[in-house]
Amino acid sequence: MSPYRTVFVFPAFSGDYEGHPAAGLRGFERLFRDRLLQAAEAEDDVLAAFDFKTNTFAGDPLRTQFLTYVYSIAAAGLLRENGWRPTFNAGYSMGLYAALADAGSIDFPTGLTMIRLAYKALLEAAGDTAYGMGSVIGLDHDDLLNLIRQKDLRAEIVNQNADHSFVVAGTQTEVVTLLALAREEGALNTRLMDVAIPYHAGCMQDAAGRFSKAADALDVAAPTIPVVSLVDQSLITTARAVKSELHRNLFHPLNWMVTMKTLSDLGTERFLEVGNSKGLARNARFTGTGHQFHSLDALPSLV
Amino acid sequence: MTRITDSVRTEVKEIVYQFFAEECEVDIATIHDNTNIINDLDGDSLMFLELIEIFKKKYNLDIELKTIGKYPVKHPVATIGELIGMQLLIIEHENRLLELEK
Repeated sequence: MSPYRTVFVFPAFSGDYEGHPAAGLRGFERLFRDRLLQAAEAEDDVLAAFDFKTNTFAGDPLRTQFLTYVYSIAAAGLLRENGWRPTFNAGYSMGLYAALADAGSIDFPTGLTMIRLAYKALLEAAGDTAYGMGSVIGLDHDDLLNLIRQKDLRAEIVNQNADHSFVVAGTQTEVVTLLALAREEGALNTRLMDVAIPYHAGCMQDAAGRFSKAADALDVAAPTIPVVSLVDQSLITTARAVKSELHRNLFHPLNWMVTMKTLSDLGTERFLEVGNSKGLARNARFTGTGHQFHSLDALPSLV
Repeated sequence: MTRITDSVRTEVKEIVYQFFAEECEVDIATIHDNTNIINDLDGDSLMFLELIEIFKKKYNLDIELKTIGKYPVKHPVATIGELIGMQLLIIEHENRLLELEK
């Protein structure tokens, strides 16, 4: 269907469904409902009660992650039903599970199991410590790093979205301090995110090890299309590389900006955000690649 | 540094109005100088960043983002009119924006 070299980009979790991007797409509701029932049967029967209008599981982090995955897989199914075939897949943060499932590396229920195992391992590692994550827009990488170093903060940059857009993680107190310092330094905007686990932070390395051990028994195959790593931008093409990426993804910083540039260098002409988000498509305006980047609501105009 | 003439003022206003009408998918006729960017238009900092980039290119501005970021700390920008005023100051003073307070 698409004459373009396309990347399916699977976004991170989002619990906001108001005006969600696939709302107007014919066939999506059916596919979403099918996948939801499958997820309820495989992992958590309460999921079947989910309703977009009431956002049934708002404030429930694990179920929100399940729903994010269900949404992405339903959306990818719709795209494939309509003839879309990606050249590469990419998974932003927990979008990795959907990227791998869509690429045939893991089956749908295995993705759900992995999400649960990862969440439990990270939650257990966090223990009683209050952790947090935040976003900073308007400073460059060195400015932000200098603030962390000057104040010796237990916080780190865990993702770079664009030249002046970052995600940070660490103990909640020190993330809050870092965000305040960033504002003083001239950040246009800072925001404390509604998460209690420092995803992609080095302090989660032991938890990542426990996750890998628990997930080792699950079936993982080589992806049928390359999945790009957000950790080091390598192309993941083997089952072994998939396992390594699943492990690294939990405690290693990501770099979405460099990943986009890498995909661009590989000849990508079009990016599709395959999930309940429009954020990556918007962010693409600042990554300097100049390529088409669409969220699902743009689909009717692309067909 | 650009001298602010009536023509520049008009141009900046047109760009800002057009930008928010397109980004926020609202009728341009509903936007006015007292329109609140966040409450009325559901605008955000990425839009602000994009607008800055538009003006940086258009007027070939020499200004660091963090200089711009420090300015609203003491001069909050909430409405379209305030944003236009700030953009005009940025265009006129570039990296010397913060010296205006001294």
